[in-house]
Amino acid sequence: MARQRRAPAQRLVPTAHQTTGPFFPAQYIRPGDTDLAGVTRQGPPALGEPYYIHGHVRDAAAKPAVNVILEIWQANAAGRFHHPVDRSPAPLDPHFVGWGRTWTDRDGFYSFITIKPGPYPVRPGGKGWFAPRINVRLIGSGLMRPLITCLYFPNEPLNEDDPQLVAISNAAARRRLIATPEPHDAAPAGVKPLRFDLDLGGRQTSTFLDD
Amino acid sequence: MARMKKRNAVATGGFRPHDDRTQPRRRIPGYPNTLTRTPGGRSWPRIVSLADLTGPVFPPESVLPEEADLSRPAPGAPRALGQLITVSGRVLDEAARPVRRCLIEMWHANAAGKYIHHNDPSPVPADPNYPGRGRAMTDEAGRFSFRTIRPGGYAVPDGEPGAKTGWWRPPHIHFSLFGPCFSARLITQLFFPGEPLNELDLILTSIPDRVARDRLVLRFLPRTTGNSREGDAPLQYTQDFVLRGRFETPFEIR
Repeated sequence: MARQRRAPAQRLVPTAHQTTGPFFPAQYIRPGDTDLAGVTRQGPPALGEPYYIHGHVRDAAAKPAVNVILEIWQANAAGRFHHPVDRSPAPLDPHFVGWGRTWTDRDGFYSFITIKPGPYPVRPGGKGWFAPRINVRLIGSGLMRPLITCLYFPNEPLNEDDPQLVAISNAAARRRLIATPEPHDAAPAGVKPLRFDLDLGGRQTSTFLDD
Repeated sequence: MARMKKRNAVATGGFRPHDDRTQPRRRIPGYPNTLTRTPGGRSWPRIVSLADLTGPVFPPESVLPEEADLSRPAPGAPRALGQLITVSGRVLDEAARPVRRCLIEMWHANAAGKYIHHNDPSPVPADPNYPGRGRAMTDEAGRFSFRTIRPGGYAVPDGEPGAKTGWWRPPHIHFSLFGPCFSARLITQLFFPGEPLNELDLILTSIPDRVARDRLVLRFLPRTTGNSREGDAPLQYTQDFVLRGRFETPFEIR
């Protein structure tokens, strides 16, 4: 069947990024934004295993990187994204959106609470799975373009074949994407603590993905 | 062939690598935070997945119309000091399609060049009637419009004592756009036309391509009529944003 030929589509060049600078309004990070799982709010929490994710963001001199904003996006416990493009048969969770935002304090420390997302297919209806993972975008003063990374869970068998991890040929770089269990005083009862440090330079530089 | 094309579209999700000439340099000598916060090593290929093609959906009712007015702290309250302006435009994708229901956050300094932020230690006076930030959501045609006051420029202080790293930031407005998916997210700044500080700004001039740079400069819309009955008419500025992606591609994925 011959398809109708279309005129070449118009192509616009994306607008240039710029840094947020140091004055991103504090009010844009609302209290609920750091608790995606809803364990600290009234009403039913999200389905799934809740985690307290914590860590430091450090600059190239290993000093605390203050006022760095972390934006989080992930699937729900069933591996479904709360978005019309995801047409998978996995159920939506009315108490989970999967988006959040947090920022580093004067010690370069950040934290947020979420649930462990479910795996989701590499291709809808196809073979292969992305392991449970949390997409993280860093913005802030000095970041002229966003930094993109991904948090993976420790002791997760699906990590072996996760296409993103497989695409990273260096074992040490791969390991840096996997969070480590580490207790934290601020983790609410029943919420598992996981540490995920982000180093923006130096010998322990974290693994970042192309933006 | 068609099959291969389709596969390829799925693999890339319609996201092309950025043309670096049209994006800012990551390291800017003279702006110390860019040197200490930009990872020096390589970045790894990002495997596009549903996580990139989806993103938070904000219901239109989550943004109130008065949030697009930064010229006063609340409807009917006294007006902020400074030249009243409007900043409007459209949000488009790479195929020039309007991006509907795009949440836009925006913030800028007051008319004297001071932010409402605990990190702004400058002795420049605050304005109690200037709210400092606003939000809006694009309509069905991808349009947005803010009413605000023209921000002042301000001095970036020298970093270390003795290090002459200070410079002047031109008047500018910060924008944060969510768009239809996590990969379309855009954080940027818009500048004012005819401002001599633009050519000296380390941040704006970090974009090598002149055309890409000029697209961060607002256009002034001359309005020569219609002012007579309105005592406090705003000067009008406009610019469009183009978000990453051609959003027919992700929606075709089955």
